[in-house]
Amino acid sequence: MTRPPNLDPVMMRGMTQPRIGRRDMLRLMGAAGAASVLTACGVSGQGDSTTQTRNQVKDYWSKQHEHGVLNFANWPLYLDVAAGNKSDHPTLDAFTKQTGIKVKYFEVIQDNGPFFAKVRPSLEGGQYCGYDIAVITNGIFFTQFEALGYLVPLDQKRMTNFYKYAGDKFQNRSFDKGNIYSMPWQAGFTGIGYDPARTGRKITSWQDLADPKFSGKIGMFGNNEDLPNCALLALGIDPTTSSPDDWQKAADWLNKQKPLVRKYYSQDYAAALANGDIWITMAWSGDIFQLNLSGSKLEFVLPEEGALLFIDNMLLLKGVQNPVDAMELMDFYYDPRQAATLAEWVNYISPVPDAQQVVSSDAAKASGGDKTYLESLVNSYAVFPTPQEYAKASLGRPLKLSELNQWNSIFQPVYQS
Amino acid sequence: MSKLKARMAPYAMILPGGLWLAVFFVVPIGAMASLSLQQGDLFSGFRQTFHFHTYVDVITQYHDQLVRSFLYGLSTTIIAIVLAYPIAYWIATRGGRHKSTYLFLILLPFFVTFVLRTIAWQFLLADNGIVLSPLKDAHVLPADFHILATSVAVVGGLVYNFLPFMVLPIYVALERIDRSLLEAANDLYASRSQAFLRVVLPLSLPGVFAGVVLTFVPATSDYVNATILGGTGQVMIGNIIETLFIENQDYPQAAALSWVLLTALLIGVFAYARALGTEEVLEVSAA
Repeated sequence: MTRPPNLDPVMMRGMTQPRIGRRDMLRLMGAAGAASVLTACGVSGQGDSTTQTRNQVKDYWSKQHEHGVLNFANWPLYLDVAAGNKSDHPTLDAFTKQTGIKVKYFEVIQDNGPFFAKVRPSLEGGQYCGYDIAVITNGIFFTQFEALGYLVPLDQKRMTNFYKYAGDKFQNRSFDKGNIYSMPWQAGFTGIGYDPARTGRKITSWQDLADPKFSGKIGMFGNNEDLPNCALLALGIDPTTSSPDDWQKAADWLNKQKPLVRKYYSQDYAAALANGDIWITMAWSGDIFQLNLSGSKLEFVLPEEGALLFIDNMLLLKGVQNPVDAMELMDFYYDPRQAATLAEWVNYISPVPDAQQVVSSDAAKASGGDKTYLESLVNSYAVFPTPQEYAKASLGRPLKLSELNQWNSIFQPVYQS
Repeated sequence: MSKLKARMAPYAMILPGGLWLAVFFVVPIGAMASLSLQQGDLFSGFRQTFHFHTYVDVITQYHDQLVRSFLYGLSTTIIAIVLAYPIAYWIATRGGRHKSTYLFLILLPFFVTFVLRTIAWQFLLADNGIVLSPLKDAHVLPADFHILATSVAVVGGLVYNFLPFMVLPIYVALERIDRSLLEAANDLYASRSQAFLRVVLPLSLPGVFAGVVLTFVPATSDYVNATILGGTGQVMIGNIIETLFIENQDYPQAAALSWVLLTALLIGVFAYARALGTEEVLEVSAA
């Protein structure tokens, strides 16, 4: 069931705001399509710009061909690997077998910020940055990539599997309405991870992160998205509609909590939780799930005030050299079989609900440790959350670029002092 | 004509090095200075406005982290001297034919990545790790004692990582001291400690100076140790510059803060050079 792409809000802004309007369109296609778009823009008024933009996108895609190669930039440990050979990826092999397209896979994204800083000069200069597909989390950097015109609109005709198999939550994302620029890769919850043996009680609320009994044993995330949104939730404020006054309240709460906090972590909180340096911490669902697979007895909880959902999205970067190949790969991962193989390895939320069936039948066929493992995946919050679990999670405050300075100046001093 | 050639020769000789310095040092640093005086953002672009107030802003806003970084850098340097001098002295005077082996041992940690070495400390010093756990079990330390996430851990990590930079120049300076000077001191009835204080120590000071520069400057601007070994109150100026550059894309502020750091470090180093005497400094640069 293909739905017509809804280009209006995003494209309208690109066309109507003089600040980035023309440059945005120039960047849209990268250097290759620039000339034709420029002419189109030069003569266009602001009348039916949407149709016009849509036509330009269509025109761009009609000129693209498969090249048989593809460069894919992703985060570390975010793709299935073959047993015994870490540089062999079964799903990529299957893709090459099916399409003949060879994929060069790069684990170069440690975090959205550094990756943005790395590719920005090429994108700004209108050059190919070396990657066709990149995986970027919803939030500030996704917004920036988009607003700067660094993203190429997808070819809606090459998203068959996506529109057929992607879960509702993943076809209707507030930060990319109409799925114009991206398709989700995997997702996860930001909630609380804790060691029940050490806390001595069940954890249910964000407020538990401010319990003096855990003084010095509390971990928080030192970033300007998870931390602020968690604090807003802790105060019972809906992050999506929060005002600058609410932000200040949240920052006050965080400052009050600070003396109890061991450290504002980036990625290394998981090891600290596993070895007892901290007892309770903000955590990402997949991490806790994986720690437990390797023997820890930790708990992950979606707090009663609500959790955060993050979605990592595959997108095409401006100047993309193999766009058709890239589209094929992105859609390929929405095949439930491939989605299942991926989920069985990475343990994050799969955007393909039907993959649950496949994992379940894989479990039925497996035996011993593999069977137990696969069975644990089928009903896990970490991989296939229930509608109730989804309902608890917010994507956090969608920040307008004009709000960013204020947001940063309120929250950054909390974890950077 | 040949006279002119002869006069030009020295300039021709510094040309390769000079060009290198111009392209890879002067130009970037000039660009950074220019950037620090611009205003704007990624979306509307940055414009040169000679907005010197950015400097005032960053100094007031990040005053704490600046002071902290200098204190950490200074403590690191002092502890490194205290540790490195005896090591270098021992190798230079008692090393015998194994000198090169000892020096190699000093350098050995360099074969492991900087970040990995620091993470190893995280593992060693974990609250229930292999060092603290037995001590806690034996009730030598209270159960809630911890080293990680404190200033001690950060300075300790800095000392560990920069110690070789202190040992090597001191060793070189000690090694170059003419033994006959010590014999002469002895002949003049100097005691061993007098000979050390009045002959060896002054002659080794250029090495100490080089070590101080090599340790103090990178330790002050380091951000890896604070990230890995620090806690909530150990953020250093390097972390702030990283955030400003990479997370906030506030290039003018980041550039201004880098300049503040650079200037402060230069003033510190030159003040120290002045205190030691300019000749020694020149001698070091010649060495």
